[in-house]
Amino acid sequence: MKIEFIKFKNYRQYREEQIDFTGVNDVTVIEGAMDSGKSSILNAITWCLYGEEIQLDKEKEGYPIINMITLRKMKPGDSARVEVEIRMKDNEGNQHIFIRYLDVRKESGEKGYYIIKNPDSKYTDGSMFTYLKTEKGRGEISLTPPEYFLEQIMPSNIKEYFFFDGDQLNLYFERSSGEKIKNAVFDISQITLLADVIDRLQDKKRELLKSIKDGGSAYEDVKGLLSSYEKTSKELKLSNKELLHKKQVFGKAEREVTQALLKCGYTDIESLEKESERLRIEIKALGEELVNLEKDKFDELIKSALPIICYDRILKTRNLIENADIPPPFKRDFIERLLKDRFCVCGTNLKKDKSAENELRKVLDKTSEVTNMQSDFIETKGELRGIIDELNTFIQNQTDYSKNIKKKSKEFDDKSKRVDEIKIKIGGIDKVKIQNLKNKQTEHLKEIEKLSTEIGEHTIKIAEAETKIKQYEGELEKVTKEKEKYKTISELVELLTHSIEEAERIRDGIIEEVRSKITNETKEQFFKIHWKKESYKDVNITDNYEISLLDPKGWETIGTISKGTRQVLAFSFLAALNSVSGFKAPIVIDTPLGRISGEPKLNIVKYLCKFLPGRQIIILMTDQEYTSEIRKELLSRLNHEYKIKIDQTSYGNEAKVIKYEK
Amino acid sequence: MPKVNDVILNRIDKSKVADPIKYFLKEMLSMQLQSISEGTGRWKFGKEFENLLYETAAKMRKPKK
Repeated sequence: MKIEFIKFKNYRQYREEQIDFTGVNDVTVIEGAMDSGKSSILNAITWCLYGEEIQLDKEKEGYPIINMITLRKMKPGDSARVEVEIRMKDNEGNQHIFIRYLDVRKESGEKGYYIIKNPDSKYTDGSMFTYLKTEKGRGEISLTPPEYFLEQIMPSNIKEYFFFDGDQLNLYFERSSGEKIKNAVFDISQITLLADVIDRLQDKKRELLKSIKDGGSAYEDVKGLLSSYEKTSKELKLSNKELLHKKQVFGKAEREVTQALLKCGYTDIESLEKESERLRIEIKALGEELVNLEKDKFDELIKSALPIICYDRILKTRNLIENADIPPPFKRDFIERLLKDRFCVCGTNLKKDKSAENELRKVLDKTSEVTNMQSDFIETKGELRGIIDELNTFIQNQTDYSKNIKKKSKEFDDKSKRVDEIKIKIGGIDKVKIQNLKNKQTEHLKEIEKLSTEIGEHTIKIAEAETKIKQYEGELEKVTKEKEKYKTISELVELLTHSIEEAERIRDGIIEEVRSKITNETKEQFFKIHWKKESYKDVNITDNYEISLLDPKGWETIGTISKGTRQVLAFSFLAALNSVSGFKAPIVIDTPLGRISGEPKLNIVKYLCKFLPGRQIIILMTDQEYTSEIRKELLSRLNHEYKIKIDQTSYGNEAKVIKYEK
Repeated sequence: MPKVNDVILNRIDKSKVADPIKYFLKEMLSMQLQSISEGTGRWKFGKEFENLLYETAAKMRKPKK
């Protein structure tokens, strides 16, 4: 089943518009800026088919459904029609046309308009719904009631699995969604239908047993007990139904609050506050580290201050020593001693040989006092080398300290800058509103928990009463069988008992089969597509349809996974539900990449390219989502590309769907 | 006409109960599905059901050949 076109007449931003979806390929992209009218396309589809705009913002609920330009051009007393028409084609080539319309009259009062509710309408907004079918060779025929035929193509209770807002897909895994999913799964796999049949058969069986009036005291006793348990069970079931309804109301309210929190930037504020807190701790540690580094640097400077001051002298001394003739050929002391002893080492008597003495005196004149200190020089030279080495190490250390201090200071500045940025960002978020919403959410959750406990207690009591009922029904059957006059009733009761037992067996078998099929398909889809397969070990769906994603160590990760992973898990789950439902309805996704940033975005698109092959998919994307890179990925499956253009007129803005041009 | 899921029908066919009960269950499901699809909610016991119940009981009474 594929949508061939959608026609709008005076519906919200669309005054007179038609979108063509015919073609060979199955993916159509409609790009539009925020508030340009993307969600109105999704809403137009669900309004036309189900009389309900599923993606209506709370703040837009008060806006008239009629196009504002049309309304402004009308004179008081004038009326105009709001209409959406969807034409679809099935695999056999038959066309199915669904049309919904309602009439609006212009008024001069404060509101300015009045919806003329059609007296034949079954819908709260007073709209009318029609269905036309064009069969080959038979022409167009109008079929009633249209809801009956629509149910066979796209059942209303599972519409959320065909028409959804990608931005809110993660809500499928939020609190209290398991029960909703379970109900939907039971509906799509007709488990509810089977359960209804079992209920009906049980009712009939009880009715038959009650019809026996004459039965003797044993019979009357059993019948009395049975009636009392039946009454208890009935009362409990009724009360449980009320509790379940209340729980659904609170669940819906809680989901609305969660959505409102998301819109207020609650998740952002939460993560920003966490980031800010982490950064503050890191900044504090960095500050301490910087103080220590400066201190260490200074201490080392003080420790080496003297050699630093004397550095030039030390170098000069070292050069002097190195340039001096060390070890000298002889010491001055030694020559002086020879002159004193008057004997040279060569044996010459200096007393007798005056010229030799004079030569020696000349040598003495040339030999510096320094030569006497040669051993001191050698020692000093070693010490100086040590000092110079230490100074070189000091220079290296000081350079390292400076580099480290510079690096840490930059880190300190960057982190401080980020804290300031976060402060500004958080400042722009309405904290009071968030706190109020959070309080409301807590209240709802408390109420849901309380109701769940009550429902649980009731369920146990109902089960106990049902066991008793079964027991007494068995006894009653036995007593009845003994009476010939109740032979027919007895036969009917027996037939009903067998039928109920068999239907219960089939129901339980299907419940398990469907759950296991959905689990396996979700798992298969998830691991086929996810880019970090090694980070996860298993996907599980519990009996209550709570989804869980386990890491390689078997720990639950559902609360901590990234937005991208959550989105893939949601898509996998939806693909599994779609596959199990057996309905081949088109899929419309609004803002599929809304919450995703960076690399996972492309991965999601790659996944969307493989999502439900052969099925018509209409994707509504923002201009930020539909990048050239993402377009390239989708190209092989693209059927049409459109862009929403806003025409500004003196009466207001009008949305037009035009061919896409990059 | 609305159709009962093949999964349910196959399970009924494969069950070990007598054929009249299989037929009875299938008919019951169709009736219930039709009344839901028509928007009339839970189907009420009418003549159609009474006939089905008594016919099935009669079939069950017949000795098996």
